[in-house]
Amino acid sequence: MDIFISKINYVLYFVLFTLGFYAMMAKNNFFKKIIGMSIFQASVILFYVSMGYKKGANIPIVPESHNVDVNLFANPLPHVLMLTAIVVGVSTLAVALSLLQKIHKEYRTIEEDEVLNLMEEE
Amino acid sequence: MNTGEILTLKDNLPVLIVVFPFLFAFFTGIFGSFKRFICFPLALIGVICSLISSLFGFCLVYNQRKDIVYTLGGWTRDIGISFYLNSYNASLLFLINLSILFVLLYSRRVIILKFPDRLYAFYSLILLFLTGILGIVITGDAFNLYVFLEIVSLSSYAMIALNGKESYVAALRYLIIGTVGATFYLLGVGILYLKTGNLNMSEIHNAIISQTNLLSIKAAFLFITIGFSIKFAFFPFHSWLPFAYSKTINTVSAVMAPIVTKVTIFALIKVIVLVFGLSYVFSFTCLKFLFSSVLAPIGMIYFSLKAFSQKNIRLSFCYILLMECSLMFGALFLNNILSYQITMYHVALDIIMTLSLFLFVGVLETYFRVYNFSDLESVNIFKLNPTFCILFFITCLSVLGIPPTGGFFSKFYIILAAFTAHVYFFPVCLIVSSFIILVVFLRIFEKLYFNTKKAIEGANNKVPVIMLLIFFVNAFLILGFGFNFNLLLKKIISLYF
Repeated sequence: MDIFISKINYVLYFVLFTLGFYAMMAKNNFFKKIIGMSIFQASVILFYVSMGYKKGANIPIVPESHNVDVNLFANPLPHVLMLTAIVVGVSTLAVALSLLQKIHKEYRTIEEDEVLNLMEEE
Repeated sequence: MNTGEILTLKDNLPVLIVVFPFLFAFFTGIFGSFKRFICFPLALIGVICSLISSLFGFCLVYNQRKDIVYTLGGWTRDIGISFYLNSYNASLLFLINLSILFVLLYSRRVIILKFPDRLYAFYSLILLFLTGILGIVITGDAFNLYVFLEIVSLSSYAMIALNGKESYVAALRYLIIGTVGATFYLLGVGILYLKTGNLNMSEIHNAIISQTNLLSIKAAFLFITIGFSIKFAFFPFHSWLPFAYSKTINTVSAVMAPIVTKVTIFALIKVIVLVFGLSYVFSFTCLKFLFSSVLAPIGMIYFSLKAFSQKNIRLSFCYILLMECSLMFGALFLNNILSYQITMYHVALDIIMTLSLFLFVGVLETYFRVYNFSDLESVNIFKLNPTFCILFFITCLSVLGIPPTGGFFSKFYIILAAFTAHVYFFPVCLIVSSFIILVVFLRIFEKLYFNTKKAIEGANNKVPVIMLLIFFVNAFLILGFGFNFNLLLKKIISLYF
């Protein structure tokens, strides 16, 4: 139980991860799938961000001296990496939403099975 | 790299291979939107520059007999990003550039007719796609690989959606499944970073080599493997590929089909060899059973039967591509060194073979208006273009695995590797599925070569000379792969980067 509580952040990300994954795979509505995709990516981003956390640590702006205690500063690298991942996530979301808009324009529906039925009819 | 040194082009060759297409993608996007005619030459220059630098890079590595490690910005590899270039890597870069060049040459007229006012968008997408692909092949940094993977994915989604209506649905489904794959990979890298505090592949390897029993390393390995297997459409995750490649325009499928799946499998090989180490991966006997003895054989039989049952030629070729993917993935998990080398050989060979197949479909669709197997009867292609058909025949021989071509050697040695690994179901399924694919090709040959009907008026098109040239080079490379098998295996395909 102690381990569970001390690692509560990872448990939360795992819940978000499976939630997003479920929405992407099981939902029939394309928009819900895209929302699921966003949650799915956000869970991994949160996982990275919490990686850099240290208890009692400061912001990682290091004064110019040689003897710096690493444990006093949070690790900035995962945060910086996640800036890239967030940009990737946002652009994926933008592409997905614009495709969704086009699908809605062409088929007048965003339910996956209805769209596939309409595609087969043609 | 000291600041006092004079920078030469030769020192910066590895990064130039990636930078050229990236730079020209922006040039094409910016200048091309003002002047329409400038798009194609700019894209061509970008690809040719990258082609020449990859050729030089190959010569350099081959003559030096030493791999090049290029550190970006001079940062050492435990802090910064590094690019690796070895002989296999460089030859793969060359083949990728060559195939993109061929598709650009083939598609010039088609694209002008199809998107007269969006040329700049199309060509800059192709160049961005090429940047990502080259980056995946050359990079030695685990997170950098993710970024390049996403560049490839985003430009592919956009390219697939170019065909309107049905292609939007195909692109959206590909996007959702592709994101799952990439995010799985990202999570795997995250776990590795958490354990090692490093992102460079060799540095991660040095850090985890003493603690390979940890459950978290296993979890990272599984996340990465499954992420990649989604990305290259392995058996249970394949549904996006035929849908996406058959709904888009034939140029885009000819750009993507030869490259995306092969490069993803190469990325997996790279992660396995560089990060986890072969001996670590060989200890997973359950994965060997799951992938090589169960999923890959079932996948091969299923895909070859699917290829047989399709009416549309392009869809049928998509399933042949999927069958090759299952073959390579199964061969990879046979867990011996020979199977790794053969898979790497087959990855390079399959780029050429799939390019030939999809360019053939492109020619049929563009110049003869043939989409289904039944349409082949109405046109008499062989009488008009005998050379073209004979050159295509060589590709088919290689896909089937008939001796003088390269395909024979890869299939023969994969079967040999399977027997050494005591996996017997896999080679049996490989042979059976090859026979089913033979029937698919016989359906084409029957109508292509033995068509006695007179051609309909107006369909008497000739294949342009440039296509003949492209198919000639392809056939030459396929035969060259076959005749120089031993040389390639000894000199070029080196496992250690």
